[in-house]
Amino acid sequence: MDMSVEELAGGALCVALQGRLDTVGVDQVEAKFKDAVLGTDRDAAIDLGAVSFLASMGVRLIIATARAQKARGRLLVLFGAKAQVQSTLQMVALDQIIPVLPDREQATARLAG
Amino acid sequence: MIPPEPDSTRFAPPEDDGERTMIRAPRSRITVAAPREGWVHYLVYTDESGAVQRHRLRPNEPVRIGRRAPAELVFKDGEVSGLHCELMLRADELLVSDRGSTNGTFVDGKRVYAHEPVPHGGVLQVGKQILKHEFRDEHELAQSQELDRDLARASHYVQSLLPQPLTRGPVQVQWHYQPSARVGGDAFGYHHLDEHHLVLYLADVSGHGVGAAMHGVAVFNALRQQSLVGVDFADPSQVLSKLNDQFPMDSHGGMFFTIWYGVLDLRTLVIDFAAAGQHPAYVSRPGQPALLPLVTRNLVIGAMPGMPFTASRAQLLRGDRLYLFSDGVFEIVTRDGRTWQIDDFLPMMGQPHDPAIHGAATEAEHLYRMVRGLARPGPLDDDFSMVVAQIV
Repeated sequence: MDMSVEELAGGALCVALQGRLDTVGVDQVEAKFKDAVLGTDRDAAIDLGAVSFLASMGVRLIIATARAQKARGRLLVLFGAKAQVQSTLQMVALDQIIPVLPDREQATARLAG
Repeated sequence: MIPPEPDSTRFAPPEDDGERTMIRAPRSRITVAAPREGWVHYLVYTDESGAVQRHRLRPNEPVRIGRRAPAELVFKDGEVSGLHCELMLRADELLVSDRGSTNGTFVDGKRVYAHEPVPHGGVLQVGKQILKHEFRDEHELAQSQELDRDLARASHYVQSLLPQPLTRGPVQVQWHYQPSARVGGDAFGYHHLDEHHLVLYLADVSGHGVGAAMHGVAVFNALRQQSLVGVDFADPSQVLSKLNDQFPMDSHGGMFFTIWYGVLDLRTLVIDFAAAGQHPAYVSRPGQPALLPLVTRNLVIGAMPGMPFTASRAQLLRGDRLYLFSDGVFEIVTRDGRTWQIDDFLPMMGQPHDPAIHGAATEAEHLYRMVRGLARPGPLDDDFSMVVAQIV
């Protein structure tokens, strides 16, 4: 599981995850991921375009991070999920608490708005 | 047999009756490291019951792997030859030689023939069997084994809570449960609310290990003992709302769970159900090739306080079969490395099952065997929980 961080237009953070977001993947990336998102006081977007598999531990990491963002008045959005990951997001109804957007442009617009 | 000289290029005499591939091994000098005090070599594998076993390797004592005696390690696996391969420990180096097996011997995915080293942590594949070479401190191993025993105890405890199959009455229920090596948090059950209503449910806690198992048991007990205060257990949306109040992830180690919960009216065969974060339950109906999904879309339980939970209703018919299962049933990696999705699994349900032909006592067990046969060797990644309810 790999991770890279960049800045979106407007100043929000964009964290791109790559690989399987399962128990092993979360173990590898959790500390870095939380540090990147919560270590700075900014809205954040998670790019799921290169995530090949999303397991319950990955869902847990996303929910915990979104809740921490919300608690300090910041937003977290997801974007770019491929079909299999999108299907998992649909099944766990994550869009009821976190905006799930198709691409970077819409994620950027959502955070800017 | 591994010869006494470590740099020999002679082959092990083939003793198997299968295909023989004779390829000369490259001449190589094997470096023998000095033994480390208190460190021991093991082969770690999973036996037929799913239990993890360790076979201690001793210097200059060959260990043969095969499908029958005189092999020291016997696997009743049709893909393992009678005498498949042989291992020999020299100082701290483990060497393997194929004994002319039909399907080959592999180290870390590469086929090997004679006197090939198996590195520390290396994986030996023999037929469907996966054996890992461990080289570790005996004291550290003792601690690790204590943890394994804890996991096994947690697994046995969970299994002791599972209900007996229902073999009589208008709805007959059987199940198959196979915990993964890491123990997950699956919990399922069924019971009568009264003489006219049968409740069926399956919950799956995020993560693995004793913590997930304990959380699963707490949820399980709340449902089977009907200990949620002020809840009508015949109303799935009420049950899920109350579970969401009772088990917030903030105060339960960051764990959430998914659930499918249904209440079947035995007089009308109408089922009220709700799912939270979980795939559908499916109904197989005689004469209809397509499965009927029973699903509602709700957030996972414990993620956010105060969420609404919607329920739905379906009419079942006599002859229908209802399947509830955890994601460990279909989230497997196949032997060719492909990650399965639920759509890969669905065609397996609703197929005729004959114990005399398939060798499994129940359809649930038959489904497990089929999935197990398709998955990569070794224990499944997650708990396998499958409940099949037949409307008779």
